Amino acid sequence: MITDYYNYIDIKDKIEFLFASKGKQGTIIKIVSFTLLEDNLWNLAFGDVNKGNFDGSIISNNHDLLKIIGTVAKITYEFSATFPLRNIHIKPVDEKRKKLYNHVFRRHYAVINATFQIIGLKNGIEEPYSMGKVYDVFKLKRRII
Amino acid sequence: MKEIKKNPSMTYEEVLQNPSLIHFHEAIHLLQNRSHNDIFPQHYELSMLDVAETHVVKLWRKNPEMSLKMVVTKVMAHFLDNLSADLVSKMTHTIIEKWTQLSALNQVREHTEVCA
Repeated sequence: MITDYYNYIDIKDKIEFLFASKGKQGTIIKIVSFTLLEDNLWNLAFGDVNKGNFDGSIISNNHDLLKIIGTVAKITYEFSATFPLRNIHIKPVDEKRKKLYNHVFRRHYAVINATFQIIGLKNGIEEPYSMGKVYDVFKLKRRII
Repeated sequence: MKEIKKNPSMTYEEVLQNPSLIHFHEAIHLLQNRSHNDIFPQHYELSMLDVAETHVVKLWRKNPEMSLKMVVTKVMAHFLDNLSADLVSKMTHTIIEKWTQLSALNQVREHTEVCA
């Protein structure tokens, strides 16, 4: 269960969400967006509003990373609960995020795995997620009970 | 400041009309001026290239003898028709590169087996 997260607003039919990160750098607006890649596969992306643009690679260093990850996870669960047949593609934009996402999946494997079948991708090869491996991309398929 | 209800669903206009959500107004103005796919264009492009690569690997595992033209056609059939010419070009390049790479690996493997 995710307990530490920011309140967020759904601004476009559960595919675009906004929330405000509050920390040492002040208030930073974040957007979480799900975009259709191919039939039934939706890309999860998030980033900041930065200098009049959206920036998905910025490290805002607001000292609230865990709360931000908690919020993105909470939104992901909401998206998936609304559209259970939509699979989610999670691609880190750089090495730092790749390390972070691999860490999050390793640490929270049991919880995520209870709701989703997790697939790891490396060099274009898909396989069931294995905790000992480092992946380039993650794919989530909601378990239909 | 008026407290907003938890995780509400709102339209762009409702956010813009709500003074307690003024910190979201810049984001809404930006969103109004672009299509959904263009929010994080670089991320979208990288993800599309990844998905294309995954389809190439699946095809190669099924039939490594398939012609390159057929590979490109089959992989691109998975995607919507409204992709930009630039993205289609990059995806085609990725597909060809990955297929060539896999074929080269296969040849090395076969050669090694023959030598052994």
